[in-house]
Amino acid sequence: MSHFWALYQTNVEFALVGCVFALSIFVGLWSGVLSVAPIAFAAVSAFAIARISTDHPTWSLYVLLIIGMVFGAVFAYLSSFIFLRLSSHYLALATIALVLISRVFALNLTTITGGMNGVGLMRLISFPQLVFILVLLGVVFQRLRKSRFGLTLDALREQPEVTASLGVDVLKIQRVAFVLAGSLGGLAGVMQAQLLQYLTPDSFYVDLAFVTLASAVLGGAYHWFGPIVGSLLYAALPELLRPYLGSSRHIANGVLLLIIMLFLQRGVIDPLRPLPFKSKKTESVVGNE
Amino acid sequence: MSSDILKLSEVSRTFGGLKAIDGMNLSVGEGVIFGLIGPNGAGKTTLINLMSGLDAPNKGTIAISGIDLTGKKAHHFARSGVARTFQNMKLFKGMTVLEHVIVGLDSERKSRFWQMIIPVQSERKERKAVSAKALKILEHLGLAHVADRIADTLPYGSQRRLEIARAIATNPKILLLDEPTAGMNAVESEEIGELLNVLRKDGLSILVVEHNIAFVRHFCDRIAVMNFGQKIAEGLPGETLDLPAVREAYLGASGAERLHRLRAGRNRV
Repeated sequence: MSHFWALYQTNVEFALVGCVFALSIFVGLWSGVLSVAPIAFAAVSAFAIARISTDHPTWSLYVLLIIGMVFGAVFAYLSSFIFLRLSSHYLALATIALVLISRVFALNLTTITGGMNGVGLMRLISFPQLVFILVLLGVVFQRLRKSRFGLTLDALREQPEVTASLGVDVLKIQRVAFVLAGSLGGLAGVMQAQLLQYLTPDSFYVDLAFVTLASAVLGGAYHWFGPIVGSLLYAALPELLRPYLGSSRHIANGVLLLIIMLFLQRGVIDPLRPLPFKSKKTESVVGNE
Repeated sequence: MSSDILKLSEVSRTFGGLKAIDGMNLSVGEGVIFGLIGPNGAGKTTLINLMSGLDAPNKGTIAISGIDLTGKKAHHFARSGVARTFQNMKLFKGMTVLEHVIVGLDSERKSRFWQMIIPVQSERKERKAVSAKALKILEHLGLAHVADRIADTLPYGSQRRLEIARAIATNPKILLLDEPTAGMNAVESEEIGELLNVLRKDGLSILVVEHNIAFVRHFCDRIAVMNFGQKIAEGLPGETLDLPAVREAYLGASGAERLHRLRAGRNRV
């Protein structure tokens, strides 16, 4: 066991932060918005935190995490006025463009980001803290899922026109979700920065955006547990295949993901699919204490 | 007239070169069941989309209870008292019957989203009150016994009923129904008609798009006939349906002519 831990601790840690990234993308999908903008907000928070923790080395991890979330939320709020004007696929493309542009900023704002040379920071976060944050997020998402807000998000994704015709201000709900996604992106950015301990303009680039989006969709974007399963699966698959396939595992990995998506189109976790151990869905969203 | 719940003045909507709605004038008064009929492609659904704010006219104005809402978004229409159903139902997949109605009550939601993450007393109270209110609406529509069922597992007629329950939850002044009896047999259509009568007694105005002429004849107080985006007739159902222009719209000129001859012939014998 300790041998396993020595080998895989880093992988597990990055996988846990991957879960937070995937949750940030999931919040957008939940409100019917396909956006990878949280990756760009993660970059903003990560670089900001690198600078702040150098200037104030005594500040605790939780202060840094909260600052990261606030940065993410504020940037998400401001940019929502541009992005949420766009419809579906245009919005998705615009947020990819935002991630692309963020690298140009990272390269040129050398006083904060260090430009090409990057910027280093101290790691404060421990493994139990990573787990604790994820559990806390799990509790928050479970509450949100069972709330009226969660119900409205479900409705909005399923039938946006109907939801609007029922008096729901769609833009406002999507803005709340966009800001929530931004703050989660900021949180994930700080966590990722803590693990990397060294940030370059490529730390939060399109590859991270695509991997995150893929793992959220793979795990299932119809329940908050889906993105978590997806991220863990995405991180574990190549390692599980390594002993058998060597370097051709990357191809096998891709093929496997493709097969999963072909047979489980709504992802691995799908609340509409009957569970193998439960015979009937009995939970009610409202009214149970 | 100030008692008009819904008033369209010279409303036009074009899609490219196609005039889907062309200079439409329409008033629906209080407590009226108003039928809107016309052949396929006449622009009835486009008109409902305009009246519920899902689409905006190129010209003309739309007023609800005397307030001009032209160009406003769908949720403004809903909050001013317009509710609607859809031709192809559009229920929320995987949601229970009760939850559908709770979404309909969303505009009354007071608690903020962060209050739902952190347990707050007021939010919990509101939740209970909302559940009770939703259940009451379901009772009114005869769906209370299936409140906890997943909506897509209901029989077709109940799904149609649920769609009306979801719309009613927004506490509207006028209900726009897009072919509520589509795919129903005579008995089920009759039940929907009775339901509309009950809702009208509650003080609701209803505008219903229908192809079922027997239904329109029986349940509507007043009807308007559309063809090619224009209103070609309006009045009491019995008189209006027999107008030559209306027959022509449905059957074509030669069809109307043949029908006329047929009837004339039958009268002679």
